[in-house]
Amino acid sequence: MEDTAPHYTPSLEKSRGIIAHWGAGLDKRWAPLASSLSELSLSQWNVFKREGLAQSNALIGRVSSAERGLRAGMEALQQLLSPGAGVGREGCATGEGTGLLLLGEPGSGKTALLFAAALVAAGEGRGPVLFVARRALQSLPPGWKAGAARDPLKLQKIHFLYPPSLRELLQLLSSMHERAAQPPSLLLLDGIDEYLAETSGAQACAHLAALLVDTAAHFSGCSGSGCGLLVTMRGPAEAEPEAASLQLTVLQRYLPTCLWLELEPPDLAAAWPQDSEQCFRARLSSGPGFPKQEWSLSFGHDGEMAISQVSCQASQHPSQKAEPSSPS
Amino acid sequence: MTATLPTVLEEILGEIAATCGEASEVPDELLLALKFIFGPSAIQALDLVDRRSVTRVSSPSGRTIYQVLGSSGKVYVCFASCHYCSCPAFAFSVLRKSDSLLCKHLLATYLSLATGLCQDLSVSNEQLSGLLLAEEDQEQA
Ligand SMILES: [Zn+2]
Repeated sequence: MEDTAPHYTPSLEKSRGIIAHWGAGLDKRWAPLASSLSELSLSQWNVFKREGLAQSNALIGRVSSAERGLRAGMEALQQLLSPGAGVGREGCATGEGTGLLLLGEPGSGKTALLFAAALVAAGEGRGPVLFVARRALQSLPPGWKAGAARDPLKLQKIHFLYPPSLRELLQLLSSMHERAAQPPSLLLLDGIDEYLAETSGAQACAHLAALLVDTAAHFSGCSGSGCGLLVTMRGPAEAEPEAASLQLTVLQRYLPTCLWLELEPPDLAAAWPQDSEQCFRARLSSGPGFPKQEWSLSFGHDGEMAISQVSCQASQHPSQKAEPSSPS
Repeated sequence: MTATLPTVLEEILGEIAATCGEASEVPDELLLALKFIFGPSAIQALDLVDRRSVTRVSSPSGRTIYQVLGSSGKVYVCFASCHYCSCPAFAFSVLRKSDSLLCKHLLATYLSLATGLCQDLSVSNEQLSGLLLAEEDQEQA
């Protein structure tokens, strides 16, 4: 910051007085702020004095938002994958971001999930689905071929776009509003990490993420029924270069709802109904150090997907909570 | 603007929008609140608002972006739906160090909207695409 003027840091008592005055004098809506300030601990107050109210507000908000975030990711995914639910409709109404970030190692099923979401959205009788990736896929994900073959019209509604560089991806997103005859219902980007590998800058990463969010928001405004945004990224490795972890932090500013995908260990997958071709475990996390909820997703031959929550205690036996319709 | 703001800032902007009206004057207690939250950035942002530095740029497609003429004479781009500004302070203080919530340009944009002091400009779809791409700022990235 170029300005060297000291921050305005009144005493705790005086601040509470000011805020109580606002609360009494202006509007009842000040009350939540006043009460959260009065609950500040001494250490939080020190942060508050040092960093200003904004930071401590974030500090207070973090705990409750973690609890909300725990459910938000899976709800967002279920919304994307439930026919007729309407992608992001609820999010648009509240003005919240509708984006979801899927993280996972290669082979954890990120692309398969994107395809499942694409097919569901394409079958909803709304706008087209834009599937953006750096290169065409070598092989189709399990269950997808059968699902697409059953309904070729769905396939026609999925538009595949392969910008080969970050610059061309930014150009594509910037100019998408120029020619979209019908606003898309879903914007998918598979492998954002492949584009971010071209840059180490936080600004470039933020620019890409902000363009994605802004583009989806623009189309949501056009269609009135919402445009979902789903982005996949290779999960950060153990020994993470600083640039990549900064990029993930920046991405999560714009896509705060995220799901971590882990391939189901083989012995657990064996416990699933035999017609399931592949199981994925989705580990939902809202940040390091926060409790995680695990969900299992299974794809059948026909592309049908089953979601079930894995309870913490019985995590060795996810099949106990699987679809009750499975025979045997 | 649909970007998610901290509740406290939303409250202040709501109050400003509700109380300013024709007079375009922000009540003292709200100015105090802004200064309380944003420190010196608040004054700089209000200065930008006073100089009518924020322009809402729209194209026939309906896509919108905000341009802010910085105090140095450089023009920065702020997005309508999420917190993004093309200025170096945003990259450094907000993205990299996370020690401020918004840069003065984003704050000025929100304040201009709340006080109704935003300029308006219509451009072609292609021109708006160019602004979204922010080609002239590539070298900073
Ligand atoms: Zn800025």
